[in-house]
Amino acid sequence: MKEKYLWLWFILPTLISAAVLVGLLKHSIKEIPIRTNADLLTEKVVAGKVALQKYNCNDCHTFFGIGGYYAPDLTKIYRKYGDGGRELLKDVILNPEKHFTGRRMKKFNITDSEIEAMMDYLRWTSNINNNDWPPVYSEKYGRKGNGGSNLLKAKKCLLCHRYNGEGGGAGPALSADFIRKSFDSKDSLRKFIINPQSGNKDSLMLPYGGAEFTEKELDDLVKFLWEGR
Amino acid sequence: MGGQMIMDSKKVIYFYFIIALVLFSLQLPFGIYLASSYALSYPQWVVDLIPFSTARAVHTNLLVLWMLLGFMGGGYFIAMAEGGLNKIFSPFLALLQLIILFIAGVTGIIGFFFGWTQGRPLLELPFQMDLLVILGAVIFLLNITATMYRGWVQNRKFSAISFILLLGVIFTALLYIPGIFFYKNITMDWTAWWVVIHLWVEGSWELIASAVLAFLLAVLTGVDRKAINKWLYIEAGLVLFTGIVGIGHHFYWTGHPDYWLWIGASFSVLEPLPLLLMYWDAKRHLEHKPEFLSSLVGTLMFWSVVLHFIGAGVWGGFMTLPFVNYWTHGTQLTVSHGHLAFYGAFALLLFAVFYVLMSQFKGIKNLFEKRGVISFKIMTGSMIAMTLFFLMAGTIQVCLERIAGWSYVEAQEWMRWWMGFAAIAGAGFAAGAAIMVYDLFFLKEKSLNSK
Ligand code: HEM
Ligand code: HEM
Ligand SMILES: [Fe+2]
Repeated sequence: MKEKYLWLWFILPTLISAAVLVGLLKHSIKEIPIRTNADLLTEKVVAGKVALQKYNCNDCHTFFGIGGYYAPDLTKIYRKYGDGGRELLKDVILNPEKHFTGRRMKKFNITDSEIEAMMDYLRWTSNINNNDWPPVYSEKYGRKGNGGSNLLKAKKCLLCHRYNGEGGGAGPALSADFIRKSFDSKDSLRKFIINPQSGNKDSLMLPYGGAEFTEKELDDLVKFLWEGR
Repeated sequence: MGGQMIMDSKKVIYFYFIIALVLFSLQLPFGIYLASSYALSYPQWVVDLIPFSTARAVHTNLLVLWMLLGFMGGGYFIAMAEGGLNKIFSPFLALLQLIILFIAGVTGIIGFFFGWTQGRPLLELPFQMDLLVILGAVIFLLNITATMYRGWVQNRKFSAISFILLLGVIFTALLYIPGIFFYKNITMDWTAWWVVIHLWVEGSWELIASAVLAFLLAVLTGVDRKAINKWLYIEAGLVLFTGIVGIGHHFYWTGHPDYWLWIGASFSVLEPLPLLLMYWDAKRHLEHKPEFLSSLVGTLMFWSVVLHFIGAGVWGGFMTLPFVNYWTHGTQLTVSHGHLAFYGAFALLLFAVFYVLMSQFKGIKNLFEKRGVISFKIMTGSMIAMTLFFLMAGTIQVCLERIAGWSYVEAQEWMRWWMGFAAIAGAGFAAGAAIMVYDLFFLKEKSLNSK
């Protein structure tokens, strides 16, 4: 090729690629409102985003896996706590020093309206359709290992108890060691879960009642707690 | 104003490099603090005083700032030299622009410590400072374009290198704009964010780097211009062809439709190709003049293309595969890639520019290279070690947190040691960097009795 026309080798591929990108993005951006439920982006939800940016949360945590890798991804964190755990999640953010003893989080002076808005915002991000990422919250891959730790979450045990470094501090941490010290058999553990006050009148734990569990779930959970895995 | 003030273009460019080197030195302690925060658990008061988030913002913004200043200084020189001129269009404006950018950057970075931030990774600079940056960028674009234009008018000189360089700086400035606004929808926010970050490092910065590399090869090895131009066009064309749609590798998990998984992957797996060509081509040209290849600058350039290919091409090409990225996305593997790619592609190349131009400005003919070679070895060895430690930590993270499904915190416990080693390697890197910065400040002629 003549030297005079060499620059075409540069300009043509560039233009082709740019045209492809613009075309695709146009389509893709049209899909975003549906995939993100943009109709739910009220002013209060957006205020949550403003607050998260104000405190620069994203330089320790990631959203969609982007940001600082120093702390867990927040995209779907609201799913872990659920509406029932909203107050607990608020407390974690407002008083991190109570909840984290190893690696620490900065204590900010977050206002009441900001924290409420953050909750609404995190609730919104947790429902964005992002091709099933991260793996821990994935429908396909889920939290692997045993069904037991899934149950602890699904049944909201972790609102009060801790397991594997996650969960609340109102009840004792659920180590196998603790379980075996407190119950003489799997059977009594099982009875206790269904109705805590039957074995110990002073127990503050909520009675779950048999209806909350299937037999299989209860078996799995008891085995899991007893063996610690 | 500056009309009758006679300012030497070379002196102004020298200031760019001095400031870039100072900012580079400041970047490093923050990196060490970041890595050590993973290894040790700092007490609450330390975290409240300088949280990881602030340190990370400082570390990364200093990086971007020093690299841009380095490229601007180098860009001015190339525009001047390629136009056959001995002066840029306006040294005064160049100095003014340096001051504006320095003030914007440093004010912004000091502001981070007081919570003045836009709160988006790498683009934390507040809006007001963004406006100053844009002002500086506009002055730069006008000044460099006018310099190239003058070269064309006076000497009929406008080379392929100038052309690619000019496009690179124009795109870099334009791409900054989507990043300065507030976006309500996080998916749109990340889309704009990646337009800045991805199209910078895998697009416009890559153009600038290939122009700079071509310039150094042309003036230092004496290889035929025709060969250099041909490869420059082909490489730059391939970089943009694969890299522009390649942005899709950042749309996999951010709320975009799933067709990006295969479109983004198809284009971005080809991104290593131009980097391989660049390596192969530079190596051939360098070998054309063996005594240069073994000199300090030749070594810097050689290792730049090697680590550019490995850090960006191989590391990045591996993580860009959707079935890999699903598990590795946003882990220490990403950090490993980011460090090796930035170091190879841009840092080493800029060091080569600093050595060539700063010694030329000082009128040094036969440079005393010993300190430079030692610092190069320490920095490069430490950087390779550091990225391997991040790689180990990242592999543990992927296995435990992502695949086995452990909680984030539990998996991190097992990564501590490797992050600690990374901090130690970082200290080694900083030591090597200190030697280099000192050396560049006090360059000297090789004396007859020192060998
Ligand atoms: C003293 C040496 C250094 C150490 C110990 C260090 C350490 C770190 C750490 C721990 C992070 C935070 C990653 C996270 O969020 O978990 C980081 C971020 C980063 N550093 Fe460094 N760094 C050093 C030098 C450098 C150099 C020389 C460069 C560029 C050539 C660089 C470029 C970056 C970039 C681009 C990021 C953002 C990475 C990302 O978002 O994935 N660092 N560094
Ligand atoms: C000089 C060139 C390059 C530089 C400086 C660079 C730098 C970076 C940085 C700093 C990040 C982290 C961004 C963040 O999340 O904060 C990143 C991510 C990424 N890069 Fe590169 N990169 C380069 C080239 C490439 C190439 C050529 C490829 C592919 C072939 C690539 C593939 C990726 C991918 C897939 C990610 C996302 C990783 C993840 O999912 O966490 N990069 N790059
Ligand atoms: Fe990219």
